[in-house]
Amino acid sequence: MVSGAALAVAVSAFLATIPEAAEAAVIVAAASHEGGLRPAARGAALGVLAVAVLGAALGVPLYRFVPIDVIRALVGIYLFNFGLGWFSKAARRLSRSEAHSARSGTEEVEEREVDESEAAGLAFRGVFVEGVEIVLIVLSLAAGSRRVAAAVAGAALAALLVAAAAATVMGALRRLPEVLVKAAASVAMLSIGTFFAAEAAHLEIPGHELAVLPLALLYVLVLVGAVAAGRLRARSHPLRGTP
Amino acid sequence: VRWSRFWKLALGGPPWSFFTLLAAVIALRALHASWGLVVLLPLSAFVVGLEVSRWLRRP
Repeated sequence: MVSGAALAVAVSAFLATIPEAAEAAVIVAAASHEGGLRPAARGAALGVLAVAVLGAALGVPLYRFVPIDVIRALVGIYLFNFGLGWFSKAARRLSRSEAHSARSGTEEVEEREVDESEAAGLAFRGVFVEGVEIVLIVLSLAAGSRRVAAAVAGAALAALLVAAAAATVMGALRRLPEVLVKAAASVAMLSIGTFFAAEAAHLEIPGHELAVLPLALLYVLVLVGAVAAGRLRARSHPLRGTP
Repeated sequence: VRWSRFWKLALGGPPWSFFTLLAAVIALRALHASWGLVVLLPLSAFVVGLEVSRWLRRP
């Protein structure tokens, strides 16, 4: 018989895991654009395995001896930095979309070969970083209530549901232009990374978790501005801007 | 090139942006600056703008 307290812990872990798992799914979708679904799925599976090993072997010492703010700051800034690369590439490609589409077939093939290992690496890093956050959520709930099994069950159920939902819509996501998926994933990573960094610095954040939405809007505006500036630049220096 | 690739993998992206934000978080935390969002947000937008402009200038 499941007690009310255990159910409350499981539901809390479930709800807290959903955004992290969804973020990991978006990163895997964007990575699959980079070099194909198979390498991205391989990277994601390795990421899940690495998180499971890390959580089982080092989870408790990590939670006990490393302050949560330190981990949150490192994970947040890592996510921010990870998103920064995709954001810059997306801004560049959107501002030079015509020149990009004019690349030769050989260039596309060469890029694809390099991109397969890159896609696996990106999916691995995305799943691993988000997975560390999920491990911390589980540990913090388990430490507060001493109901480890309930916290693990709630988080695992959320991760499985998000993975199933992501697998269902992955086909549709892969039909979207690569640059748009990457731009969306990078905006999400930048805004969640900034939010974690602000939380780690103990700043007053109006709206708490909901502050991620205005942050995302801020980065969308930066992207629009960067694309406009890039197009102006490409127009005034047409030869310099051609890849 | 190998070292720059290593740092990029280890830090998720360019080291300068990682350490800039880390220094900002440490400083704001040390200052107990609850108002620190007015520093952190423009700083992170500036970091993004700088990196994007570097990418846009690439040949």
